[in-house]
Amino acid sequence: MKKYILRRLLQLIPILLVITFLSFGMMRLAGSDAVLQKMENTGMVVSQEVLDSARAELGLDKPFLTQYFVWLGNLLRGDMGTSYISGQEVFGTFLSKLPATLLLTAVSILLTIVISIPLGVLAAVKQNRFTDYLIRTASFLGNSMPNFFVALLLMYFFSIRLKVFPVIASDMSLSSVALPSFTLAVAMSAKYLRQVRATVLDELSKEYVTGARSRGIKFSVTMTKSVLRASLVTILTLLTLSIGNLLGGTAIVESIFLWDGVGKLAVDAINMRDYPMIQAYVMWMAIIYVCVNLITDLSYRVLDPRIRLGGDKA
Amino acid sequence: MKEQPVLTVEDLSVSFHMYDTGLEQYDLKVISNLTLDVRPGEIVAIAGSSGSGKSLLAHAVMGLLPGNASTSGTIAYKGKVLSQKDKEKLRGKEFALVPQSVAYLDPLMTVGTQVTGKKPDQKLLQAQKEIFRRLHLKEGTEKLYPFQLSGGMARRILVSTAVLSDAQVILADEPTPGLDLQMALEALKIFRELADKGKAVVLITHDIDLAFHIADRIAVFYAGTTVEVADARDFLTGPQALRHPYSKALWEALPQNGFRPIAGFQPYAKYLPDGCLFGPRCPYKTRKCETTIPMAEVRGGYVRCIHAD
Amino acid sequence: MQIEGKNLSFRYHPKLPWILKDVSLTVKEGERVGLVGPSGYGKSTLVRLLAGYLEPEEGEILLDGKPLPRKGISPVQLIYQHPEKAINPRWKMKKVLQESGMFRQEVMDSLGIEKDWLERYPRELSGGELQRFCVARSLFPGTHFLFADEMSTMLDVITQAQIWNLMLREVESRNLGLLMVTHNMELAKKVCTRTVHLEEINHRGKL
Repeated sequence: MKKYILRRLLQLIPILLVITFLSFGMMRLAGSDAVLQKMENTGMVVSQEVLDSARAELGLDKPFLTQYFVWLGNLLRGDMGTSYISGQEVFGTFLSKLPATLLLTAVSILLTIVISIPLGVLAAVKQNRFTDYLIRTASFLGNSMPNFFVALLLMYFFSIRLKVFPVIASDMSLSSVALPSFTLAVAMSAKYLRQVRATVLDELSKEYVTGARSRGIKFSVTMTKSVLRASLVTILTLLTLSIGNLLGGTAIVESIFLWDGVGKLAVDAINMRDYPMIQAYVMWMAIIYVCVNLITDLSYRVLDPRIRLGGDKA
Repeated sequence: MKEQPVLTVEDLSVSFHMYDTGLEQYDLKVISNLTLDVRPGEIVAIAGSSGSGKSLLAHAVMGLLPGNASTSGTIAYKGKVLSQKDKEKLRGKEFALVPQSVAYLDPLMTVGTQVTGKKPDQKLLQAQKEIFRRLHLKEGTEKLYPFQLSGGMARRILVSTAVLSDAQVILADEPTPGLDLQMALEALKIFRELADKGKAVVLITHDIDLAFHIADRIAVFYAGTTVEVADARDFLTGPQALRHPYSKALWEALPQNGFRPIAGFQPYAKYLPDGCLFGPRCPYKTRKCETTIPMAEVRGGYVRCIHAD
Repeated sequence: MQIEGKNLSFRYHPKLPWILKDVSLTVKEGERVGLVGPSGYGKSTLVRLLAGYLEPEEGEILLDGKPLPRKGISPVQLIYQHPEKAINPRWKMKKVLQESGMFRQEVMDSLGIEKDWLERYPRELSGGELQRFCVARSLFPGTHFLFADEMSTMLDVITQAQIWNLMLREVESRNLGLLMVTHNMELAKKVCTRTVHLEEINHRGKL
């Protein structure tokens, strides 16, 4: 078991190498660079010499491969560099944005679970009855509304009309995180609810459910002990993918609510061609996905004896 | 006088509401006018073609039919006609089902828990050990999960679930395929003992040659209806003692009795013929066979054929 | 032609006990072999090994002294106990036959496949009817051996007799080698030219 986890974590090394190299290369292909962007933003007209010296200062005049290996060498010495734009340390800046993203992720996932699983199960159990139709209609609506629209709608009702939550998240309190996380949860719940419903329906149609009924076992027991547990494997896979997504930041929602997370940081970094910052972001994403997948695989083993005890015999 | 039947199925019909490709819908009548009764202390074996509604009958009795099924006719337990609610209360307590495949076991639960329930008392555990031993299931089998069982083991575990329940009526749906002769006989012997203890056993099986020896009565199903119910002895005697041409055909198709099949196929539920469902394959078919044929008493058995004597 | 399993041993995992140990069995063209034995003695496993569906851990399988061909249509065709699991449920029966190039009148005639079945889906046919399709689509011109694993166990006795009578006719006219697994001794007696008791040739000892 420990070996397995270690092996999975070691896989991170080649993944990180490939992914950082690719992103390094792709940013070069995108044209422009941090120096140009900075100049354009300030609106100053500067001579070629100034540009060249600014580039030389950042090392942007060197060949592409040299730049990559210089960056990699620094990284191995624990130095992620400084931002081309702000001049701040990349690592420190990135860390300072993380708590906001973590909080937003945790709260919106929690909300999603609380909304989608009970409603999805309810819709499955009441298949093709009024409750089911109602839940499915709600899910349809939730799916059709774009994030920014939901955000504006929520702002209008809760901040402007009812004045219960602030329009702009000024701190990391629960009341500040409420609207952005609910915005995210609406779209995710609408999606998950359908998945939960389909998975539970599929599970309910299996013969072992009939078998349990024939043995006089209460439906609620079969539901919680077996059906939900079996469905959880599928639901978990979806959820972890979303966690990965959310931890990468959600640029639109973060921008609307001025939520100071890594999503906004990443978008700004890309716009300004702030290479060291982009690299940090890309690495963060790779690490998240590897870890999240690992945790998912581990939880499968807990949930399903077939995976835990080593596959089908036949 | 014989004892009163504990389970009575009268004039049962079951239809499934189906969706064709597109928006067309139709009703598929899979059981029509089926009649059957079982008394305490006896085994009634149900023989008949695959798709003749044998398993569905068991599911109808247990109240396990899916939502798109509609039924007519009555199912009564100890003289009381059962509603769906009644069936739900009775199953697992008064009624036990030995289902057809390992898929009916919960994949996430050990076999032992499913056989004895969550917190079994000493007596039940003892009984479980005893029955596992008799069915040649090794010690420790109860700790396995269903996916770890071979087909034969799973079959025997399904048999033991019903035995350990305290049910008065046991419906066994194909408990023997995949078991070798010795094991199949052991399983059937267990059902015999249950019957001898006063329980009523309905044994659905293709291994009819074994059933002839172990059962008291045989009910022959064809295309979703009962065509003959007779003493098991008549089937041991041979075709001359049987009443329905399909029963005779079954007997003659057994490998040990000539291995001679009649031609043709059981009609598909979507295209049932009028009148006698066996008509299209019957050598004695006349015009009168195209009307509704009732069950009639002939030589101490019951038969759905106007030509039987 | 003959297919020969030489000193076959098999287990699913090095930590698990042997299922088959040192088993040798030869099936010749034109002979009909019944493989019988108690439940759990590895009958299905042996059939799968001989058909090339599983790899033996020890021993070899030879077709006329040469290893089984890996590519193309196998000269050994396998028919299972559950035809409904061996057929794509979303295809009409016509397509099932077409896929293997067996949508031909003489094939349908010889197996008693009715015209109106072709337009139905698998769930609209009974097990015996489906099993005919499974037999039909294994009768390639290059088929020399038919292996039937409990082919008729889930069928009623009339359907069983029907399908075996059809099978035997094909096996005889094409001079195929037949290996059938069954628990039914009476059936084996009727169908086979010889029977093999697996417990007598499997040297794995008591489990």
